[in-house]
Amino acid sequence: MRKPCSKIYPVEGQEWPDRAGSSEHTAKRQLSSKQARWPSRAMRTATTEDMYQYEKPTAMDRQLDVLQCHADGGLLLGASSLTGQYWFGSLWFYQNPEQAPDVDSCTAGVQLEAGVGDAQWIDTTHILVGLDTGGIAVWRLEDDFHTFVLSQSASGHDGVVTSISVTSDSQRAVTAAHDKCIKIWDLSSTSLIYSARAHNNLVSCVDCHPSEPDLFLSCAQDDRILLWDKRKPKPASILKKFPIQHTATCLKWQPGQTHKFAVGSESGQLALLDIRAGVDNFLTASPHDRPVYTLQFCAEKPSLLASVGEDCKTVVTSVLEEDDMKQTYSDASHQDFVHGLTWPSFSQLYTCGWDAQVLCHNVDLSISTVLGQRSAILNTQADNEVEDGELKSPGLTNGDITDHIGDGDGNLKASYSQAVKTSQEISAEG
Amino acid sequence: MQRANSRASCGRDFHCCPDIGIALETACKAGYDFVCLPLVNPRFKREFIGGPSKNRKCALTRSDMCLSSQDWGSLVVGKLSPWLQLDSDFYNTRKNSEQALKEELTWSAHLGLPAVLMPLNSGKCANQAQCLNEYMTSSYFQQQYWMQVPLLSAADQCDPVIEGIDVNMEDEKLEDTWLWWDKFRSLCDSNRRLGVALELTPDLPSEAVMERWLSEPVKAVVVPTSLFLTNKKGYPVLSKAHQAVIKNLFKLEVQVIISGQERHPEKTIRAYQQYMDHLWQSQDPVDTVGQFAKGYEDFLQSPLQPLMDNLESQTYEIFEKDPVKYSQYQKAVYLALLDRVPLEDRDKKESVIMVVGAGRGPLVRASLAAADEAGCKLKKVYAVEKNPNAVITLENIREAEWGNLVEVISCDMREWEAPEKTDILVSELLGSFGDNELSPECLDGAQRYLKDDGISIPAKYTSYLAPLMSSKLYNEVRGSKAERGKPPEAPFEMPYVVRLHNCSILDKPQPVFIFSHPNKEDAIDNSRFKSLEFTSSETALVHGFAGYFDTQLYKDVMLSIVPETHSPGMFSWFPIYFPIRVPIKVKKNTSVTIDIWRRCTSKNVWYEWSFQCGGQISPIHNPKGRSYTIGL
Repeated sequence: MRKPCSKIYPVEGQEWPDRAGSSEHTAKRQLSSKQARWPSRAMRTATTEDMYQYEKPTAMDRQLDVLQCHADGGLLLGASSLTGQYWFGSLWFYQNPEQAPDVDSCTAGVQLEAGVGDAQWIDTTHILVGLDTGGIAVWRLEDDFHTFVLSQSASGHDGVVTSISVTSDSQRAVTAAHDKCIKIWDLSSTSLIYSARAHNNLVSCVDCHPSEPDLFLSCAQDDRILLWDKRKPKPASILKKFPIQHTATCLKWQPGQTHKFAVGSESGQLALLDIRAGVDNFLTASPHDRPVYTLQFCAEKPSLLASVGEDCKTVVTSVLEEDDMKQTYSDASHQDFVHGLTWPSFSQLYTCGWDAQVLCHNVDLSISTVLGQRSAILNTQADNEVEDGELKSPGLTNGDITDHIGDGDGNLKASYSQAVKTSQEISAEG
Repeated sequence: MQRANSRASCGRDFHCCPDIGIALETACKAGYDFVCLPLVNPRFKREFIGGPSKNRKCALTRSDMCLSSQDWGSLVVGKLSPWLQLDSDFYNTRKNSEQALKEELTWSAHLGLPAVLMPLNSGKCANQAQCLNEYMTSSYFQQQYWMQVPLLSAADQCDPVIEGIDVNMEDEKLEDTWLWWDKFRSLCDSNRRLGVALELTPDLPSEAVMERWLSEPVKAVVVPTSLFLTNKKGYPVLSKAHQAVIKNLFKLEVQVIISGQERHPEKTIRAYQQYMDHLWQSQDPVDTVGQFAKGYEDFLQSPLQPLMDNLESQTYEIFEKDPVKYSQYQKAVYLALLDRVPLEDRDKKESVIMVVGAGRGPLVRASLAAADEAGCKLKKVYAVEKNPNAVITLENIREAEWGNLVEVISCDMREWEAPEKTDILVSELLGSFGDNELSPECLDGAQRYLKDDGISIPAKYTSYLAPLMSSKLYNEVRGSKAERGKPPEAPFEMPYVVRLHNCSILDKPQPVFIFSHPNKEDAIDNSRFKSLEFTSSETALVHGFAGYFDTQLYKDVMLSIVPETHSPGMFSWFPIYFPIRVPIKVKKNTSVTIDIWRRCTSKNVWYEWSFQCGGQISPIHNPKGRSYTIGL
């Protein structure tokens, strides 16, 4: 498969060394091929046999919605355009997370037929995506993570999919949507195996149990938190949400535990609750003042709970009993709703939001940095040549640029050196 | 039989619309007439109170230049964001929802959309009503707002998967979603721009509950694709119960909205539209009365005053077209003659018939034909008519057809000094409420020239009334201005003749006033008072009462416009509607009392009426006939 970048065929007139036929013929072929590939922004859905070359979008969708770390250190980014003429979405993979969300530095990128409500890794190369069309899709990364290929897709929901979760055995997935329904899918065939309407309003979040594939939680705008156990004849049961005062907006099971889960509410309150009826102890804090959008426990250190929300804040809370929900980190650098959240390691956190920014938070040092900004800063200096591709090694960069701005403003130099310092830091820790 | 629209108007609902051009194209190609699109992306939550996101700098939604203004104004129904929670207890959520709603409403007005769909999902809707009402009151554009109300609440339609919750489908326990709508529109003072988009649900409520929706301004019916079953050929069809609901709603000329995923991919969404059209075409054909009444549904008309005024040629012409009325009169006269003249006297005895209020002569014709049929000889038929214009017609017919057997008298029947007494007195002076065209007063004045054993045809007439619910009719009355010199509540204090359509009759009609002729009382008193009690099987609003009448012409020859006994094919009378100033709520299985008076003076006759329900007592309407009288 060819690399998905904007220039696939050679520029007209240039010889393509392996092509048979006269240059005239080649030119004609190129022309007709170009016409055939003239992008209409609507994407065609494909089956496994149908290997279409998917066009990488030329620009990043503004609303960054999902971040998911890959086990080997890469980063998956899901973005949507919620305003503007077309409401599409896109999926991106960055081998080097620091380059997110720069369009030119991505390892792979593909346009989706609608916005991405949620996405999750199924295994090291497969991603499950929940779309605004009400359908789900499984994308596979091929060619050493350089190409997205549509593996399967299915439609089912009558409203936008808000949340998806893959079961612990990776066999099934649970999805929730605006149509008040919960659906369970078999991932090997992307077929619907269960559908239920147990909520009375838009379902905002589902989360599968970390070790038990038959258990999952859901919460919705109808002010209910439901615990689902597929082994039971009546699988759902209403959990008491005390001390959460308002509607729950997101949930997460605590890894390593079987009964504990975290809840975020529309008022910004967090709580650590127990699913067992008899257990009354809980922990609670109110670090946010707007609805909490996503919660993530750190896989390496499950006592750390990160939360992001519509107050544009990123917060890490310790859920150890003795700490009583103490806030260990707080950051307000995002300029708009923060939606995506993922832990690459126990001291680092990536977040993305509707301000089109991806931030890296160093929890121990309490610093947050904007990722993928390097090409932007370089572009302010008109004489610089920026090449597509990876970040150059710091040494080389320094040498090149310093020559140009030696005559420049003191201020400019200062900001540049700040940028360099940042990139050095990143490369040190990356 | 022709209908006003030749096909069902279907729209396609898109919950998500990545490309508006493709959405429109898909819908148009599949035969849909319009689309329902979200105004703003359904996931695009906004912040208005504080924080960095308040200063978000980007367009709210796609540009209005995506479509031409003509397309916006005719093809698109806008949908408001589904995440709005205007009645949330939490201040931030409520405030943000209010501001977001305002943004979306002003945008939809800017686009000039014909209608906007707004979900109504709970009885807790006071703040939502206030926001919309404030907006409607301040905006000038005549956009309609369709509240999407499900037939059953989401809680009642939950799958039975929750431990500890038994979804109870007993009618008594189901939540009444009509009450949500009633609260909402009452808060908005039954604004004309507010309509209902009724959403079908897998299960349906009882007949009585469904019946009530037929009196509401239902503009559209939302049919989720999940309701469709698949027939043997793979085409989507609906269950019989759902079909019945839709056919009932078709009478109100609703538009159909198909929403949800395409669930029959081989047949495409076109199959849903084709099915709806099939249902439309397979409606029962309209009967004769329905045919005649086309265009008059819910159209208020002032009752005729034939006594005070003179009818016009056109009016006579319309009445004369009635196929049933005159044949019944003929039958009555025929039977009356057979009874009065024993077989042996048939060729000797001659009878006198007087037709009072002869108009252009149809009753004269009927009487002559009846005598012929009965084989009875007639001495004279007198045709008495006060309208000098109609007398011209009568004189012409007399010369051309009837000859000297008929004598035309151009005089008011009450003032005429008849040369002899008559055997049979025939008249048709009846209005939609029986005596409301002053037949009793006229016949009292004419009966002095009826023989002591003479017969009046009609022998008796009875009026009926029943409480009704119809926000449409109430709004029509509310919209009319009082005439100069009349009090401001005048439109509510007069009756209207109207073909009742978008309304619901809450209980069986009961008899009100009865008049018999001849009236042999020493002192004739035509004033009346009656108090009637009705019970409503469902919670409803009383917007007034519907009036009917029936008449016994002779023995068991009847004419009737009471719904249960309506003379088939007779279109001469539409029912009458007596309004109420302020609608009264009647709770399920409780009673509403209607008091009605017929008041008379030497110059006028009028009705006064009032309602009582629970503790609510309305004032007496039309006291002293200040807003409406019938002139003698």
